[in-house]
Amino acid sequence: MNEQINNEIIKTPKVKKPKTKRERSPRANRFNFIDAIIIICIVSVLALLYFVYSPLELLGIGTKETNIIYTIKVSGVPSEYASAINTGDVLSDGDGYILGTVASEVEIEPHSIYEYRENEFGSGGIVSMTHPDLVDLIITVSATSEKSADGYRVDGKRIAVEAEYHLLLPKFESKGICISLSEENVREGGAS
Amino acid sequence: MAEKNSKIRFGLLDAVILIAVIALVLALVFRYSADKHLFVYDTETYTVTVKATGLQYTTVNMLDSNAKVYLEDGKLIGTFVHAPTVTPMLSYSTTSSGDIIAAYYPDNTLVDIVTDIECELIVNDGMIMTKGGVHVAVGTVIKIHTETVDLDVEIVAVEKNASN
Repeated sequence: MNEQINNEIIKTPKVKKPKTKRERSPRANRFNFIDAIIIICIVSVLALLYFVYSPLELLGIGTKETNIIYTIKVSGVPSEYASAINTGDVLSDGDGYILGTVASEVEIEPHSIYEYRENEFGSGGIVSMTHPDLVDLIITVSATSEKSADGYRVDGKRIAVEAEYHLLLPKFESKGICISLSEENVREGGAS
Repeated sequence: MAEKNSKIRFGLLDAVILIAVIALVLALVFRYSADKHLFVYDTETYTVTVKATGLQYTTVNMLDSNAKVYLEDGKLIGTFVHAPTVTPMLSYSTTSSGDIIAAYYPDNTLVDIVTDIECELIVNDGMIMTKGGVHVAVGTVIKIHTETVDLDVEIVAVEKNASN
């Protein structure tokens, strides 16, 4: 008899405690693995940006929008090529940067080649000779740049004298060297 | 008592926050260690003489005395001490008799320049370097720029300033 009673006691269902709000809707506020991954990714990206750029650069502080005029010399091409470059053409480079627009008609200059020549006395020097067929093209480009302490950037690409650029125009493609650069309203320095 | 302990259990969210904080701290340390050579460095003033060859002669007009000089990554390295010394570009040619001779380009064509940059540099184990870790030594070719000009220069002399 006692044994029977004991069994009944054991079988008696337990009284359940009322569930808290969190227990009732376990999925509502649970922080899951995906959330963790997202937070880690965001923090990693922020840390990387902070390392690569300074916070001032990220906010664009320290740069000023400035209109610039620069010229690019394309050396040693047939003079007919000049007709393939028109005022207003958009200039880009091979990497997709938009470097500005052609501001004026292309100037054509003689193309010089340099060669060592000996004189009759056995000494000599390097002489400049004008190439009979090829010319240099001087392309003037106008662009809006971001000016910072160390120079000018157009569409993120640094523009500077002596730098070489891959020039991509609607009807012309070549390489050229920047030979002058000035702010549009204050022209100074550079090649003539 | 047992119930109290369960309230301060360390959960996944705590772990993630901890990882995020550690990542941020590491990023800060990494950034400043790259910039400042593990926070502790003493800079000394050096005059670095550099040479650039084959420039357009018109470029020289844009290399002002006292112009700020930057490394390729945009970090300031120093300032030009004076306007550059300009000579026609030097080239070596072979004569008809087979001798190698030095010859200069004509005026107003291509030029070579030599100039001095005053720099604050770090000396670490006898190595002279910029704050960004670029080795500054004779014979090294580095890319520098001013506000308007890009230059590939060869370092030809590194002298510690007498005032140090």
